[in-house]
Amino acid sequence: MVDREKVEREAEEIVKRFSQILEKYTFEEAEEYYILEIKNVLREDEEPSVDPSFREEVLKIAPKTRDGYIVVEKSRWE
Amino acid sequence: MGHIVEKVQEYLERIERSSINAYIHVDRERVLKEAENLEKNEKLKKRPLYGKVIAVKSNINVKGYLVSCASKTLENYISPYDATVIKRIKSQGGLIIGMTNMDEFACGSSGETSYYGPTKNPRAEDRIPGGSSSGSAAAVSAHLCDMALGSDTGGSIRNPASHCGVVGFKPSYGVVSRQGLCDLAMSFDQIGPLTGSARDALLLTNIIKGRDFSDSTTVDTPEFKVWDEEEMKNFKIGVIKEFMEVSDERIRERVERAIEVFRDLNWEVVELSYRYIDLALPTYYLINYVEFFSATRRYDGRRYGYPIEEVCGEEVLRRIMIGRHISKKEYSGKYYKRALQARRMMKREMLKLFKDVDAIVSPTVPKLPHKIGEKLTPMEMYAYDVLTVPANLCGMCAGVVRCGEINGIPVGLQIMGKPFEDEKVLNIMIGFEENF
Repeated sequence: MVDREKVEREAEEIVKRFSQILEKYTFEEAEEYYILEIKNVLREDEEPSVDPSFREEVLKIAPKTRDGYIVVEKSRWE
Repeated sequence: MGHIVEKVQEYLERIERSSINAYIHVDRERVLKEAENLEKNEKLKKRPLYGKVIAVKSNINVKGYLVSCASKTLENYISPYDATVIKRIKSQGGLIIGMTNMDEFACGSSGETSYYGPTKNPRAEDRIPGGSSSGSAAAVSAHLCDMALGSDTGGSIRNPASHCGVVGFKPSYGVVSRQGLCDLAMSFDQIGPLTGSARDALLLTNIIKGRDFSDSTTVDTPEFKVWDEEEMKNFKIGVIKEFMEVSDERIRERVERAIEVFRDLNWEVVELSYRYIDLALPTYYLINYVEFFSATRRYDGRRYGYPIEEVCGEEVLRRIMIGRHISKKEYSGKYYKRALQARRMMKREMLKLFKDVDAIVSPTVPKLPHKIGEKLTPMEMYAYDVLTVPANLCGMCAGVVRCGEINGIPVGLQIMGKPFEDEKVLNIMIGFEENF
């Protein structure tokens, strides 16, 4: 059983320590979101091929299915 | 009975007898059947990986196997497809023997956070094998397969390779497809080999690498070849003094002795300085938390598995909590965006160092592996990664080869190269092994 309060306390301490180190520096660089500067990758137009067993295998691991579809509860806004 | 079936049987028996907990899922009947089929397959006989028995980390999809990421979250997830790297291995005659143990969702550097219990280090069974590709490194070290696949986000191939005394290689970001890998942090993750020798690491990297339209971050690279002495003449090796200073004195001594191998080859060895080592862990982890939080939103228990926050272990929950917190709009400027700025600066400064050298060598892990079960704070655990995360932050390639031991515990030498100089680094690893 995970002790959520302990995990939360440790999480706060980690963020505090990491941000203290970052604050020692002044950064003038732009943020680097991606390691590679690859843009607009397009595939060739072709007939898509799907493994015929894929659907069946996916349905097997779904918690609830009906008529070949996965049944899920609608999400709630929190 | 042919030699592949015999070899597989031998491995299966060893796995059954083994007490190191390297595997999570092995399907004896299936793998024997596949070995039989492989022996009859004339088309695959001339392929470079023909008959090689390969273990796979449990976060890489292999159709029909349990791809649990060593978490209760996915304890029922039988993969419905093969990752690109698996398709490539199968198409070149490789045989998958099973799924290996790991830190839960690759969140760890010790192999202890697995829902299936820790893996033991085959070279020192009371010690951790390192992580997060703990089972893959241990399986290679204990001769429970020919070679293995791991994934490396901040050192998860190199760290266990070092502790278990095997070879590990993290390709440059973009060299190997991540399609089918359950991501930890998508801008750092790379799949790579864990093997018994650097030549095998080159062989397996050649098979799994290459452009893949399912992963738009991949690039084409020419075939990696084994170089001769002439091609490696007058190489220059850098040693970052700050990487040495933070390491245990005994590890430093082993690495200094290993560096002599390069001098014996008449290569120049120069000292370098990298002033940003204290930024490595904050930069890496703050980005990791945000990307991991984002990646875990799919584990909601609707299509498969269980909702992650309800069943995961401490370290996974901690990363999700921090990731959720620092992703909030009001905080992103303070943590995440600053970390992204730090990443760019670290990369720029690191690449400057490569203007004068062919490769940079260092210890892989700054300290020896702790005893299994020993209590470490999260920050103490993160400290294992300080020498490996720079390669991920900068998109570089980096490999590990064994360079000695301390009281029977292996020590690995890390060899880092510029982005897309994978072939050169693999050849330096081969050269080191042959002359050590």
